[in-house]
Amino acid sequence: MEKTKEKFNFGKFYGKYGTFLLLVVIFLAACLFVPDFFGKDNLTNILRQIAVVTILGFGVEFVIILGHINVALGSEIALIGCVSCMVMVAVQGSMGAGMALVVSILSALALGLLIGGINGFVITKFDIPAFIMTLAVTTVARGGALLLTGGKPVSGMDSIYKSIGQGYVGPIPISVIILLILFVICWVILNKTRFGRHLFAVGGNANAAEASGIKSKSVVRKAFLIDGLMAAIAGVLFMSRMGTGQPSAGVSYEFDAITACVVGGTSLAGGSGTITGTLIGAVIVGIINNAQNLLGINAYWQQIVKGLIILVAVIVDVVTKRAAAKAK
Amino acid sequence: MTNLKKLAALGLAGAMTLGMLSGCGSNGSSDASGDANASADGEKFVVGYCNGADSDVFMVARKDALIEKVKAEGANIDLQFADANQDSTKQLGDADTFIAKGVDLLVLVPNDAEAIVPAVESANAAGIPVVCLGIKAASGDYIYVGSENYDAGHMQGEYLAKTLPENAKVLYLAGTAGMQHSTDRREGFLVALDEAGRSDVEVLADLDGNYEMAKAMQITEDWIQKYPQFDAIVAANDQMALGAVEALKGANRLEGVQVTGVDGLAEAYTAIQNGEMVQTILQDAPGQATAAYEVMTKLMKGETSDKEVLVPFQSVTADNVADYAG
Repeated sequence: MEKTKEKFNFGKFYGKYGTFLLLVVIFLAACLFVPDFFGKDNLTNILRQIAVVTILGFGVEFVIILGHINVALGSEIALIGCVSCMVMVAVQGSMGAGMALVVSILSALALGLLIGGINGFVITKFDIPAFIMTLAVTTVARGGALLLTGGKPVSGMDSIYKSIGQGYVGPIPISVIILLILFVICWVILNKTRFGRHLFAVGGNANAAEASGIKSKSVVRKAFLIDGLMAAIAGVLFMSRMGTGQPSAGVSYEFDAITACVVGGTSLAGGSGTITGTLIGAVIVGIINNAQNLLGINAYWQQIVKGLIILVAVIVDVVTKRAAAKAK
Repeated sequence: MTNLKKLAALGLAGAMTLGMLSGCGSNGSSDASGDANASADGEKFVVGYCNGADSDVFMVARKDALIEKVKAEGANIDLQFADANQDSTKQLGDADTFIAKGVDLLVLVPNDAEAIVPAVESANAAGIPVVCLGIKAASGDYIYVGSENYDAGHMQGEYLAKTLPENAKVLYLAGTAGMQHSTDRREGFLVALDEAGRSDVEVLADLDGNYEMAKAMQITEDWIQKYPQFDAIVAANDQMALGAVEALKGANRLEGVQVTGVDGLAEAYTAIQNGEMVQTILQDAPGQATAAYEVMTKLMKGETSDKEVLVPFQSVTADNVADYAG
């Protein structure tokens, strides 16, 4: 037990260091070669753009550390976001916009917990691979979103609904503030709580963790609950940013979130990963997307570049981990 | 405590099952096994309708309009549906199923002009008439009911050619790359500007918004960072135009920027009424559905139909939006 833990921190250190270096290099390159990139407005713009995917990344990080995965996040945010819009429209007349917003957000959180709960329950109860379970949820949630909305965008929410995704406190977008608060919360959960320690223990070696008295299934279920909550917050933020509930939006957002985790040094094999890394990973992807748009690079190239980033990040991760193991 | 947990777990399992069931119900209508009575009932004219994507707002509106029309007319038509969900291969399978069932008419909303050709050819070989709705097939024998996407872009160009100031700067939000209608709409727009002698208008950038609101919003936000001034954003559909409007509003840059889209969504009409968009091009879903219905009734009576039934696009601006907005 003690041994696994030590090895772990070592790899973690390397992962963190490498990712940060990558960020610095890409940031400097963008400043040098992309006109209009460096500036307070554009940097705020990037943070605002990555908020949804990063929050999804925070949630799925917990799941990936356990060696599981969630490929349903894009559909989940569509379903949850649309439900929050529909609730808003349904109740804003009777209880006023402010109260309706609270109810709308609470119903989103409840639905997120429900979906996360179902994911965790089925995966642990029937020992189904998370990939398969969440693959099923992908189509169920997407179908549900289309069914509830009749395939049409939900509109008519009071303008207060938009304020979450579009509003500012001083010069800082509310979405960025939410992002930073969630970053701190997730960081604390992962690094300062017993649950966080259990998470790494189960992700590193479930049998060993079980032998030392950790209820691994309960840890998995809790991780999926957090994942569901993050999907709920991301879903509300996503629709609120656009000002409408879009049932067919969010396609492949799960892969953007997973990309952020992986670029941030999280191993898909489980057992390692940091919230800071995920944030940095998301910022890296955000900078690259932004830079490509500023340069007017066409869609075909953008797709190729996105794929290459994932590939390079994984190779760097594997190579540094191997080097770390040798050094030991 | 443990009992409580068990109870919660049971509840979750129940909700899960329900979710699965409702998920099945939503798109299970397309299966070949669905309707055994249809063929026994010799009276009914059976139409196999292969939709492109039931998640597409416009395609759903057109399909719903057709269902309404058949119901309202009390026509002796049995509409059966399949949804390709943007997958060209699935669409071929959908068409094959209907052909094997021996439907009286095959309606295709092609996912792709080239990829649909085998379906048209199999139907031709089986002697089943084919209607391509909204998007043409690259070859094969069929009746086309729909609009010319080139015209939609052309109408955007015509309008802006009149309203844009001298040396105007324009940004183009393109539809999904590699799709024929995306190419046609852009082409129509550029040709219209050219025909109007507006070579002074500069297209600053042209990026692919994939017909998605969120994507278009992100691109527009980046453009706002890059270009201190521009006069118009031309989008290949309304969802992207609305995304551009949201981004511009968020940055306080909507003033002086003309935004135009295609489709004629209710949200776009509202935006025009609020002065946030200047134009949308109505792709007439009920009009196309009605035209398709008329072709059906002709074929049902054994009459022949024109090879091409065009339903014109309509330019909707502040001047005439009141006539369209419900």
